Amino acid sequence: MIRIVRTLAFALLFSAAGVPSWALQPTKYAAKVPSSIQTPDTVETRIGTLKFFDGLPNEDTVQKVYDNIDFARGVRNVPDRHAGCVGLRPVQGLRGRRG
Amino acid sequence: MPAASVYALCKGFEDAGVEKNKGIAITEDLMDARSLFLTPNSTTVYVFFCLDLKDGPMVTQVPPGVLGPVDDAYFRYVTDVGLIGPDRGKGGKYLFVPPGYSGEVPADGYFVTKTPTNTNLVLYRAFVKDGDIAAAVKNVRDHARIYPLSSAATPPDTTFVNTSGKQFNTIHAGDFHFYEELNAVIQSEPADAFDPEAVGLFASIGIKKGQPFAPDERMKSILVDAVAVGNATARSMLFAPRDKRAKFYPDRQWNNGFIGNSYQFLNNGERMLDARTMFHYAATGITPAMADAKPGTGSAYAFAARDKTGAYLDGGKTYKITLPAPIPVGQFWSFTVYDNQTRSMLETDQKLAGLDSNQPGIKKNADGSVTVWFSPKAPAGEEANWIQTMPGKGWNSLLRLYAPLEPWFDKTWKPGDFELVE
Repeated sequence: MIRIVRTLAFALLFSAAGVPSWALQPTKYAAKVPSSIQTPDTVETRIGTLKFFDGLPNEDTVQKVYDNIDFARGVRNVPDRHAGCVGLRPVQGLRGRRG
Repeated sequence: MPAASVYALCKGFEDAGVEKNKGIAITEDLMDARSLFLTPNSTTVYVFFCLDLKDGPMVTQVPPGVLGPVDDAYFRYVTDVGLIGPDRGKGGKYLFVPPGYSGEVPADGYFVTKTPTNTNLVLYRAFVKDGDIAAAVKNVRDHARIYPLSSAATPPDTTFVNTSGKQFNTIHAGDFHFYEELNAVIQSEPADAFDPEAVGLFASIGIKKGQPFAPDERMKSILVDAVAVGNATARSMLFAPRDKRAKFYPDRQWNNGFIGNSYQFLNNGERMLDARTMFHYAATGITPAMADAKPGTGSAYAFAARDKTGAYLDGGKTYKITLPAPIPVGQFWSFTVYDNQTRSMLETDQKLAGLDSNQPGIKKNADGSVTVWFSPKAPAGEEANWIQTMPGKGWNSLLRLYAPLEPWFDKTWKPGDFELVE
């Protein structure tokens, strides 16, 4: 009973802090898990609401982050690689590769 | 992420009382879920410590019969020590020489290794023979030493810290603190320790060598958002990879953590970015030996977070999995269960957080295959073949084959999938 009450108290305490209640389920080999290495079940971001179950992204979240990283990498490739494209041909020429 | 990961490991060791350049951590009673590490095993004695070469070269004496890599501050491979390192399992003295060092280096007596960064992570396994953990520990305590080259004539004592059962964290952050970890790495390394392209990217968000990392309100709010999306991205790359090569078999849920079997994540000139993230989000220790095992040596790893139908594994449910006979191992096999939040061992009432074939009493099926059960409570009669999981939590598992044999490599042997038992 004490165990249940304590778990509940922890649950209340930590749901307020945004860390899910199971994080403190008492087990024999329990770790002290810092909140900075855990992922809350719901995260609001500029690409939308990201949802997780115990750190596992749901299908919609997976799609959102892949759409985003493809976009972000696409963007980054333009200003960062523009100069690289200009320089590519002479260098390849010097090395005797096919241009 | 690789840089933050090494930083978090070194920070974690210090938190556990392992002093930099003086102390060596050793799991004298193996590793369990109380220590937060990325996907460790619970069957070998681990030895780990960080070297800081800021003040000059460091000597590292390696015991005979161990195995593991030394990686730099960006988790780049520096060397192996032990069985596949230059000491070939005989043990010996390694001298780690910092970047830009112009002092004298002894002509002989050491395996001299130059490294591009001041911080280096040494992580090796001392194998347990015939269940004699104490002998493996004694071998390490008798032979492992670290000290500066400058005091090699009268080396100071090395302190051993037994970290078994200690609650400490070696896992990098998934929130804003991640950037602070990265900044700490940049500040402690030479400006040219990393690829200029990467250094440029760090600088673009205010992480610059010799300058305080102090984002203004606007930048800070962007980075808080960015790390949340980045963290979700890393999780997706691990738990829902897009690369078809992630799967060992088209009809199984087992994934390869080392896509392309390249320890540099290279393929035809391409750095495989997602594959690198997938590895570093779940694991530590970069070595060609781990990325590309050979029949009869080292170990093979397969990762699964999903059941046969492709649904994420649920700790409140009961699953079974069968390894067909003969299981292609020269030594032994193991399942370990991990927490999806931390990628560290699942916190349960079982010290092993898993099962290995050295455990007594494991039941075999009539055809020699082995069925293992995963559930909150042991199914009746299956206690010896049971791994505990936790209701309300997910889990993932690594299947390890020690000294994997040819049928693993040519894929004529296939492990089963996790099957939901109603």
